[in-house]
Amino acid sequence: MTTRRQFLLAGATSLGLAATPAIVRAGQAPARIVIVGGGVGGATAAKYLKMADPRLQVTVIEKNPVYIRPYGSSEVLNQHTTMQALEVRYDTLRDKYGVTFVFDTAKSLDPVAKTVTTAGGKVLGYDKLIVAPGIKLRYDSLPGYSEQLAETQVPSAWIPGAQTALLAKQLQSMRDGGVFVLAAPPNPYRCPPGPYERAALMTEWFSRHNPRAKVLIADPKDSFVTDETAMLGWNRLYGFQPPAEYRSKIKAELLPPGKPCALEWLQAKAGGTPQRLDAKTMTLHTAGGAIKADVINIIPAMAAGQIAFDFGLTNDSGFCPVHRSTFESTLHKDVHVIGDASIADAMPKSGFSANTQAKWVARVIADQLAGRDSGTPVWENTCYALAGKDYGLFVADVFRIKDDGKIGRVNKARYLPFDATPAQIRLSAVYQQAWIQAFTQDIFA
Amino acid sequence: MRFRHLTLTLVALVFAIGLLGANAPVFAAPAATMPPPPAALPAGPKAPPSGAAIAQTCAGCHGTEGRLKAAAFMPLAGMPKAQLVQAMRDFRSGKRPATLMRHVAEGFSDGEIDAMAAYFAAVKPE
Repeated sequence: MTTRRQFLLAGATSLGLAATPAIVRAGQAPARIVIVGGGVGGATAAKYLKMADPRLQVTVIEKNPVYIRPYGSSEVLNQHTTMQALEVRYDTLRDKYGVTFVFDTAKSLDPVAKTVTTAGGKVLGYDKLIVAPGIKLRYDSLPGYSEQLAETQVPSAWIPGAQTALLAKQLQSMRDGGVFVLAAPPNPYRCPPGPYERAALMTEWFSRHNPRAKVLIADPKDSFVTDETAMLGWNRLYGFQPPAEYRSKIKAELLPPGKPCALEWLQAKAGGTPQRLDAKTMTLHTAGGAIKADVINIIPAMAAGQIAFDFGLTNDSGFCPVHRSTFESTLHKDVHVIGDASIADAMPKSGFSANTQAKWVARVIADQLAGRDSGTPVWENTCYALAGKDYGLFVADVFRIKDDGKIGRVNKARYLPFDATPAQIRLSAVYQQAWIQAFTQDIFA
Repeated sequence: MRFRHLTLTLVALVFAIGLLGANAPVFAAPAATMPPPPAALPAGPKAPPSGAAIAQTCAGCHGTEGRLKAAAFMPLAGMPKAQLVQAMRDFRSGKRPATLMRHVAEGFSDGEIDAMAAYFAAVKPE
């Protein structure tokens, strides 16, 4: 009788070794991949590793049992979505893909013994480690500001959660004709168009619910990623008048000044740089003077998530240096750092960047274990953002490793064209919502 | 929820401008004013990205392995190779209107588009 076993062996031989992963050929236990962080980067890596080879033991260490997605979270503020709608569960990754979850805080790394220890005292050994801790907000970067103030009175709401709900409540109940100040962060930071989208969405919301309200962006920078196309949108929607140097850059007809615009952008050269917060009097002191406000939203300076510091993966920049072709840390072997925490040159700190980095690293790890060459990497970033709820903008990038060894953009155009038709603009807003839906599926479903 | 607010016109536009349909109406600037597609990317010491690796970068919008449920974007799983190759080339030249697909298509060579399209054509749609 030809046994099933013999048949399988014959099949394996005829298929050749290339079809059989190295880890099985060598007769070893499946490789153990530990992923620290269950956000966009970590969750994507877990899913794509299991897709590449279901036998890999993939374990995600994540503090929160339910993920709150940051992308699109400013839409809680303008009542376009709810806090509940931001919640994403890990059930599918666990049940369909076989990813193991440890809901605990990763505390320390032993890169020699190749173990990660959690706050709960669990020790996890790994063959390959992926660290995707996202960002940490440097509340202390603005004198007078603190995490405690952020949670009680002056929210940052840049990592979504209770602060998002608090800011939404403050904005929606702001006194008639009140002033909302958003302190924009210095570079580099998570979601480059995000602060400006938030200010614009609130300008639009106030126009309906609190028409005498003012929105001020106090900025330590003189430019931002989607500035030209965003300001064109603000001009059309809110009568915003861009600073003089933008008038020649924006290759489209601008509406002339009408009634005073509710939205004001104080760039660094106009004195916008935030210098100190006086929470008692609700005053933001900037280089140009004091701004008394009813609601203040501080988006502070950022660094890699705390875990990256605890694991010894950061350099003086506060972020993690990596080998570009593999995103393996230059400081610890077999440890890959992806997403906002990594130094990825021209790639923005965006969810989409983290997502394509995660897939690439999953591929590199699966190929390394199987003894295959991964070829040269290519990454993308596409972000839709809003100037108003029906006015979409975007950034679209394709990235490769350039001749100087750094990651650079290879496509030419990057933004919504100035001559975009009303249909393209509105469709970009439709696609902004579709992007959130499709992107969440690719990571978690 | 949002789609309830959209007019039929807009729904029609989704299909007209979306990825599907070689017969989508063209209402961008005429092709003659568009810059030529980029030259082939220089050969490096390593193999170019595989079709599967390129396809992964599409998945954030077009679904894991091109399989997508209930979003406005076009699922790519099982799309005939020639159709996807033509769509990407037309996006890249500007012949075909888009929001950001022209920008994305600019980043890829003919060979890479072929490899990516071959990958998606071989995926069984769900």
